[in-house]
Amino acid sequence: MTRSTYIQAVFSRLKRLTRREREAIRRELDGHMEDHFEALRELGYDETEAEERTLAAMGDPAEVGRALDRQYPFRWLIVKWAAQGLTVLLVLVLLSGWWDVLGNLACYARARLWPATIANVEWLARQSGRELELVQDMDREFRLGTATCRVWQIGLEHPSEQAMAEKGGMTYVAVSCWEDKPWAEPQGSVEVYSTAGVKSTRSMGGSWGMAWEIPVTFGDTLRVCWYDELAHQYETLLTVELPWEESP
Amino acid sequence: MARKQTMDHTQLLVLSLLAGEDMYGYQMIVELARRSDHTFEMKEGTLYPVLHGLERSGAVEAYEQEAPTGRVRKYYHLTRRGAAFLKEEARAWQTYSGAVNAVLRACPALDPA
Amino acid sequence: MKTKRPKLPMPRRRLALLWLLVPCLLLLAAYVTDVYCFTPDQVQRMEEKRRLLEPMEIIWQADAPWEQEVPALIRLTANDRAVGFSEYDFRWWYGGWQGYMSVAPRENGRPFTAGYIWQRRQLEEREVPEEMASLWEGYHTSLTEEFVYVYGCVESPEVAELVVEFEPSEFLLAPQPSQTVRLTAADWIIGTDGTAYFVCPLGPTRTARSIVCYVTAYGADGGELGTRSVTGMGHWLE
Repeated sequence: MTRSTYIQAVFSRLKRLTRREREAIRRELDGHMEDHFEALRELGYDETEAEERTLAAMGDPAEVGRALDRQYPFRWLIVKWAAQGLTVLLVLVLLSGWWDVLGNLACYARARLWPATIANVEWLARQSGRELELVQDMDREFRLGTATCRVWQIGLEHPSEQAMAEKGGMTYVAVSCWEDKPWAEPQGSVEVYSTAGVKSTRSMGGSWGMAWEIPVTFGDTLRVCWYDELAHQYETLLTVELPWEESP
Repeated sequence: MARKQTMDHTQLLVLSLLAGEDMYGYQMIVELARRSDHTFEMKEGTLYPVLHGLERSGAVEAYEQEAPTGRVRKYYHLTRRGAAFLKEEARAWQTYSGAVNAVLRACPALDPA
Repeated sequence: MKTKRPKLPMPRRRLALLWLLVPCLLLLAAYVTDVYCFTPDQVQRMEEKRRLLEPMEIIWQADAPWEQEVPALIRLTANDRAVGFSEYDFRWWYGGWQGYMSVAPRENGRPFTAGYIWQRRQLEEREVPEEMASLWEGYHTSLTEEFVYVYGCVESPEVAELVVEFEPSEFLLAPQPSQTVRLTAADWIIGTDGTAYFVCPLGPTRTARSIVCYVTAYGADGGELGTRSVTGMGHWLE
């Protein structure tokens, strides 16, 4: 018998071991025998005798194997496999939902930190082929259910009374929205009207942010509204003053 | 019953060895023989089921490290739970051995006088 | 250079318990992010939030009679702005509980609030009378059975009786029976604030075309208090 056949004899009594467990036991037993063997060699034994004595000191491999087997209960291995199977199943079942959640988190970050990447007044003006003389950032927040909305940008085609009187003009407003829970999509739809009740002529964006183009006359303010589907009417949530330039 | 007795006995010895320092299997055998003046010379292979049992119950933890011989060995470290277990078992053992000694002392056939 | 050794294996019990923790954490995360709905109440809250109607009180619920394969329920909920009727079912492989709530806005100035909802079940070939089987090929997608519910609440204390008149059109050229249901105080379901709610199941009826349904309120003296057509674009008959 050699060291490796001894280990094989131990393993023949061990029923279900994972590869990693088997490898660890092999390394440990082999290391032990190596140490013992080397110690005997240093005492002057020749190789054959040292190996024989080493193996004799180890004891019956069958008994060692049986005793080791009791320390590796199969039931916990089954529990582990079941848990791994369940994990795979859950990941498959929940994957598409979490994909949406990741998207929502990204949109939440954009809506709060970089609202311009969702919708901004300059893009919208460019879409209608108009130039904005005045673009102004602002910070007016309002609540819509469990969402927070923020009017963050205003654009005026012609801020002066004279130009407005001569050419008329559009005003642009951008709003970003986010839910209290960052992984949820904001609900409820917002619309913007001028005080004269004129509806927006063009809009862009989505749940996390919108921009609107509204025809106005000089001195108008804007009303940010929410459509109440139960009452079938718009409810004003916020009035936004526009930065009109007073004539000298 | 007899096996359980010897198992507990080996467990106790192993834990007491590890109370001093982290050791690997062969080192424990050598140290045990030295400390007990060769009274405890167990079959070396049977040490490992005991160690793995202690690891399973959380009394010891294992890690691999290079031994002073330059080879990588699996070291065992006594955990807090193992230390508490050792304390409890040692006390039980002392009570037991004290009782045995008391009985033996009362035995007239063993009277040295 | 040291060669990389495989790590020592953890004791089996600890490894198994750690692995058990993983699905538990996944489920917790799914619950927190509403990716998976473990209870109908969780969908209910999501629906209420979506309609900006939080919170609603659960008035009544029952098993959904058209769904035999998976757990499903119908539920009446309400608050001071609306009465909601929802249908939720549980499919473990598809996000857990799912469903939809339809709402009838409360009409405080009227004798009652009423909403109408139907659930359509596709008929199977063996359920169609034999003499009609020839029609199966061409029309089977429109051969359905409908479970209809009229629901709502009483707004005026004068109302003593509600009469629900239900008139389905023909099914495969055969006229379907109309139904009239009388609801009185014995049928009201009383909410915690004392409001009287009602749920009136109709059908199941087989119809390939439209259904007409009216609700009329009568006072204690038998006088008519108002009639509302609840199907299609609901309106009061003046």
